[in-house]
Amino acid sequence: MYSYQDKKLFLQTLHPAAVLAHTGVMFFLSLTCSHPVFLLLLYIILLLEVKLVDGLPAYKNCVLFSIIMLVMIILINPLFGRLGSTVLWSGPVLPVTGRIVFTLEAVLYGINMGMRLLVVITVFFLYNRMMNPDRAFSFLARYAPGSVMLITLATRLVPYLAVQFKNIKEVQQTRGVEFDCPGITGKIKSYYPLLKVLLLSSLENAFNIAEAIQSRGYGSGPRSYYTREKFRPRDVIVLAASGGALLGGMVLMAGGGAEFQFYPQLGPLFAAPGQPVVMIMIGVFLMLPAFLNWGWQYWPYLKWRI
Amino acid sequence: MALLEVENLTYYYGGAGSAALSGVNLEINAGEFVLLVGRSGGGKSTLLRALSGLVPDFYGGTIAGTVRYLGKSVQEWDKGKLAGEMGFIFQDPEQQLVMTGVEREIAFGMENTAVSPGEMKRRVAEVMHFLNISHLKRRNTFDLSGGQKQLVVLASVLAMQPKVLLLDEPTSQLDPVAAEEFLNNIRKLNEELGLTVVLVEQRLERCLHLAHRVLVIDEGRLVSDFPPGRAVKWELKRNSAFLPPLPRLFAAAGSAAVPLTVGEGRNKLRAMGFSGADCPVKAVTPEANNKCCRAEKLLEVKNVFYTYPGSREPAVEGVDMAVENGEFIAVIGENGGGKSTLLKTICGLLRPQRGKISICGEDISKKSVQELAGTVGYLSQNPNDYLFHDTVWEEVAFGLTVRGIKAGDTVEEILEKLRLTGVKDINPRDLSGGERQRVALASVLVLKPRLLLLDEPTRGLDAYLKEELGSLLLSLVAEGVSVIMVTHDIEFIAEYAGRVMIVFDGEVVADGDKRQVLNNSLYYAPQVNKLFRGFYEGVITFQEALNLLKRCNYEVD
Repeated sequence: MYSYQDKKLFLQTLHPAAVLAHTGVMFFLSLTCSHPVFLLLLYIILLLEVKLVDGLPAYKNCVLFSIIMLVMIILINPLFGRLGSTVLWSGPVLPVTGRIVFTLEAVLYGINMGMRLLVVITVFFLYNRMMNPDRAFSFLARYAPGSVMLITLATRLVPYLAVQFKNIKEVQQTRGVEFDCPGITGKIKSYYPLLKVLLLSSLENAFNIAEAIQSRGYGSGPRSYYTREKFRPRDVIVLAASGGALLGGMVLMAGGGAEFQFYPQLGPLFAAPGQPVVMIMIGVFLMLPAFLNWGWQYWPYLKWRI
Repeated sequence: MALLEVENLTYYYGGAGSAALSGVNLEINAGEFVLLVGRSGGGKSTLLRALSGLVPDFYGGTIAGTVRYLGKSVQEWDKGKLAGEMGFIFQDPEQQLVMTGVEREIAFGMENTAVSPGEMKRRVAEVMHFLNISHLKRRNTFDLSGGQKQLVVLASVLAMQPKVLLLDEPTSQLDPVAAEEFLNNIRKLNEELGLTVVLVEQRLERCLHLAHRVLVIDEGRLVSDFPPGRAVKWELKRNSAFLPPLPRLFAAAGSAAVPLTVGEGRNKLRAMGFSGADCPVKAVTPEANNKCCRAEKLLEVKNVFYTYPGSREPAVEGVDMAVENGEFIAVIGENGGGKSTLLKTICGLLRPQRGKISICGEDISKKSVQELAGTVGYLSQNPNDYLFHDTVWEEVAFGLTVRGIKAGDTVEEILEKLRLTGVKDINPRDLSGGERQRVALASVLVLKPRLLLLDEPTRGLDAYLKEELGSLLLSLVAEGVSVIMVTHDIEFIAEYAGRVMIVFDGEVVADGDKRQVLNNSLYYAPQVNKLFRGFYEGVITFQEALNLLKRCNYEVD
């Protein structure tokens, strides 16, 4: 569960501002642009960078964990969506929802939404792998110490919650609670006490952590910083490239190229003029950290320069 | 002028009807080592928090009287500066760590008090060297052991160069080795650097001799303030349980001068010319082995192996053991050695990859944890994992209601047995640590298990609560319940257990009567055994030691 491991990889050496800019732009673009080709492009770049931070084995587990959610999105949209003109299958009439109709457009729209969610999850995964939480804390605490502490503690709490969840589940089992019982009602009934214990214990723990932090002077006045983050050429390049990608995204949106027409019937893949060119440009900008990573590994001169 | 002055301090937590501290007057001088003792919930931790200003700053509530540090009220001190002057270390290291890297964690407090980067680097290096944890510099705090985490917290506090160190049961979550290492560091800080130390601790046998003064807090009042020797005598007059075994032994035998350490005790024996050969009776009393009379095989563990997923080394390796009705077995050994894993395999939470476990002659491999729960009771390390109902009664009844059994007289009976009837309508989360522990135990005992598995149940309990727990376990054993208890508390098992197993690196390396296993053990011997080593063999319990001293007819003083 605990995702950051310092392996001294190139992408982990970037300045926190560069990491935030790079992953932030990808997050922004994944939310604002829903063109399937563009989302696919983003996903390929993300997968490549996940590999470069040595995160593929852990990423597989992360994707498996979210696969149920993705399948739900893909299935629920055609089930309830009435849009689309190419009927694939027409089912019985159900009370309240009416007739079940699966259209090609609704299925593809659902898949595209699933893809978007996958991209968003992957952006967060990549961020966790690239950004040392302590460096992020030091960098961001200058601007919003309260909120940053809250986020840091919440992030840090995740692995502890996972351990606690396991312990409480074991205790409940030994008291006779059946967690494998069939049916959603039975499951809710058995997991309810567990979640209640988890919530109560987490609140108590949060109180204790807050007390310990106050006793060490957090929030008592201006802070100093243990390390000064170096801003190197590699960071300038990544920041500039992120800016370029963001600009490209704006151009794409302004020209209507960020969207794809699903309803009432599928539109042409590239409808706006220059759409593929802008997408490729954004792709190149976003790929720059990966290019630099290659140079850092195999080109001594570049390594020395950046 | 005293470093810390407390004047007529009275404090009520928000919404509380009774005072947590009542009319406390106290002075602590620079360089003193002060030990705070007393019952759980008596006000020790509150006093510590009042000294640091956390009470009432963090907790709110109503306060009267003053706490002054260097002549100035702690409320008037700049919070950052006060945090730099007074370091506070809490019980649970998990709940004090903020950063993920050790080096950054140590710098965290200094960053908060705006120490310059160059100075921070120097202090981090120095403090890591001083505490001998330089090898942890690049480590992730998440991967450290409990003892290492507490040392990192200590390093982080020390790096702020405080003049006062306030410690609230800092060793309660640590195993004996880590606890001893931690307290040795505190002693070094007090002796070599002149740091003023105020320590709240339940394991008095480890730290009483370190203190210059012992303060006893009872129901929010400071009832005594003496040097350790006088404090021991005062406690003896009150027939108090807050005494380490050695001073209690010599005082009970009529000695005027009371030794505080094993070394002092042995010198005294030598000075008395004590010789075991002169003693008319054997100290060992085999009938003291706590086992009920009906001997039926309840549990049989045969060649059990368990390896955690992703691990190469087995956590439990080739364990064989048999347990009869009414046996009280203590399982001891290093942290991470496989003790808790062994308990979990017995109650079915973990399924061994090899070997067989039978309970009442039935193989448990086909039985679910829920099925076993009626026969095997399991109490985990953290009682909070059990508490989620609105009242103690509902909490205890849960085990029965979940099985569709009507909870009524059985619950009342258990509540009575564990002296919880008075709090049965109270939310269990509003109870003290010791009471929570009893509620958790009651919710296990309500199913009337024949085999009771306890994972470190004495952790954080004060001396009175330990006595209560010990008596309760002995009464269960007398009824024929078998108890297997994982613990680090050697003094407790020396008094109450009948059989002791040592688990090392997943294997059982010793298993037998407590006298065989604990006697002359290099590490796992109780204090009285260490006292008589070389003088008389086989002394394990307090009563045996006292009998020996008395029966030998020595003039103790």
